[in-house]
Amino acid sequence: MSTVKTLGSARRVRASHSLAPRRPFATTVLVVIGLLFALPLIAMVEFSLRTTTGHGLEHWTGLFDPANEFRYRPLFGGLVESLTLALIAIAIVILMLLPTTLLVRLRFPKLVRVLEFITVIPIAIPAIALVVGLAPVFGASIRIINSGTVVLGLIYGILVLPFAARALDASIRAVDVPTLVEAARSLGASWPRVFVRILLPVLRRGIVAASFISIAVVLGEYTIASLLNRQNLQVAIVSISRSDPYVAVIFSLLALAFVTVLLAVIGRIATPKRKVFDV
Amino acid sequence: MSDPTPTAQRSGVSVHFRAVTKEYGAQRALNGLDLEIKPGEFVALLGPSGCGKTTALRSLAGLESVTSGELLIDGEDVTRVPVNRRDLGMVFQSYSLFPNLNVIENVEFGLRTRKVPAAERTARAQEMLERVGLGDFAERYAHQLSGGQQQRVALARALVTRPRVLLLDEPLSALDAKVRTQLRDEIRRIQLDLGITTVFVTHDQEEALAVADRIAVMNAGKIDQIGTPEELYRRPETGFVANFIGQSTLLTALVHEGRIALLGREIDLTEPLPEGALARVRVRPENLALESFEHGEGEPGRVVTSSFLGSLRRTTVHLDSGLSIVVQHSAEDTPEVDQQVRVRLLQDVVTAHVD
Ligand SMILES: Nc1ncnc2c1ncn2[C@@H]1O[C@H](COP(=O)(O)OP(=O)(O)OP(=O)(O)O)[C@@H](O)[C@H]1O
Ligand SMILES: [Mg+2]
Repeated sequence: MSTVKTLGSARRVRASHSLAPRRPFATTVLVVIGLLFALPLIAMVEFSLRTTTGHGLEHWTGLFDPANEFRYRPLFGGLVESLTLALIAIAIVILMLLPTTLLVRLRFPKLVRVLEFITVIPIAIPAIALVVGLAPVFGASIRIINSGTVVLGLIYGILVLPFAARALDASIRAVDVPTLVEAARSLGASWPRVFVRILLPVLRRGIVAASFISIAVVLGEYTIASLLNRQNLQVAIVSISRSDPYVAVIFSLLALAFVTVLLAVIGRIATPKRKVFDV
Repeated sequence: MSDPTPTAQRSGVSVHFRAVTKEYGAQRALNGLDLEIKPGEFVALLGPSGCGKTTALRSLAGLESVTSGELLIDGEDVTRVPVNRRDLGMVFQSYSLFPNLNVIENVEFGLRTRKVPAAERTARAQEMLERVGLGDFAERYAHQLSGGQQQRVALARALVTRPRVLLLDEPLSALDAKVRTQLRDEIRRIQLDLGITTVFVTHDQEEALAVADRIAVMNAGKIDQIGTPEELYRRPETGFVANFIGQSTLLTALVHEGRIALLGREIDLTEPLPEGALARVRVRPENLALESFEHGEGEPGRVVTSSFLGSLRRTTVHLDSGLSIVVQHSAEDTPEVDQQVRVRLLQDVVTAHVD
């Protein structure tokens, strides 16, 4: 932790000296990048406000009109499906990836590289190729588990591995986990107690970050769900865009806003009330 | 895990290593280690890097499983007992305070696992913090403490449960020299206060000599010699120990009529050696004197280096016979590099070995 702190302050010191880019240059970069991100969003908002006569809120209000409920039902269904999928993916991250990562760090340090390699594989393989391999597995698993959502959730659990593993790994590296565990054990703590009292709180940031990134990945996933004929949020948005492009755009905006809010909320939770890590 | 009565101060317990061997693959970190520690004793495990000190301590703590041999604490075989049931206190070389807990919560951790009631827990933790001089730091977090303070808290955390044995693995090595001696003496004081059996790992002989009741000098996975600091210093049984404790120079001479010639003098032997044998003698810097080249006696040589150590100086002399030897003398003599001097032995009787 002290190293983290030193690095942080070193960076701060450097920023205030001449090595940092000049202010006008920095401002220009920020503005350009900001526009790059903002333009599509502004365009989407503008598009969602278009009406036959000009601009108005009729597409937005139409969303809550009971008369349209039938048309939009797949969208809400897709949203629920995506959130369920995200929960399953998070469960896999916390119940499988986290213990595995800790086990490798504490007991089998020689396997750290191997685990790192395994967790990157999903990012190295294109989604299409993944589906080709997963489709037969998907079919067979459905016959056993009998829930398309659960099986797709398991697949998403694999899909988020590269991102979640990075987040967890960063928080594990920030502290001397083996020594903390040994200290707790030598003080009489059982393994469950070590996990709940020491590891979860110490690694909270990493766990929260991993969960958030899992949600973000799952809410944005289209290819696999579509190829496996599952109705998640993105699939629903694409299919409704054919008949009602306005609603599709509105839902994309709402999903984006939701993820942003989630980020803010989770960021708040992740920062301990008492300032423990001053990074 | 039953906790001892809160008021009674537990007197120390004994610790036995019986032929403990630990292998990491082909590497033997401990090679039939035998060590007997008496109740309440402060034993330092001293030895060069890689000799197995940490492994010995971690085996006793239960953090490593041993390949063969037995570990006994208070006569009880703990070889297969998991670490959390051995009832030992451990202080690590690296800072090991839980970053999510403040100082007092850290100290209370071991009491929580032992289900000590809250009021007693806090009182005991606070008392122990005061003992290590950090009574006012209860609310701080690890990152708000200096290295020395963190190790004090770690010491309080290890001691507050009144463990059977206190284990310290180079707890001072990350600290600067002044804090190191200060905390070292404090550890010894608290240890004597509590009467707790303590094993202290260090590679710093000065540290071991200063605090330990007995020092176990380790070499290649076993104990070379164990004894009080005086015993090790005055009567090293092996060349390794002689070399490791204090500084010394190895001299050789042929035995003639029960005596040997060292540095231009005929010297008696404490124990007789056969005529004509090649005797090996270790001489320490304090048993030598630096003499003037023109007027003194002893073997001639030239000064290589001379270092000031406060009240005295240590000078390395390259003898004309080809050997380099370290001499300790008063700080008032200030030999210059390359100056011609003589080195004389102050002892009249020496202990010699033959191979
Ligand atoms: N986990 C391990 N795997 C393989 N070999 C190990 C392991 N831990 C220690 N060793 C080896 O065992 C030997 C003893 O190591 P140990 O850490 O006990 O030495 P030490 O006396 O504490 O040294 P130092 O003063 O450097 O801390 C060394 O040769 C080391 O390389
Ligand atoms: Mg060591």
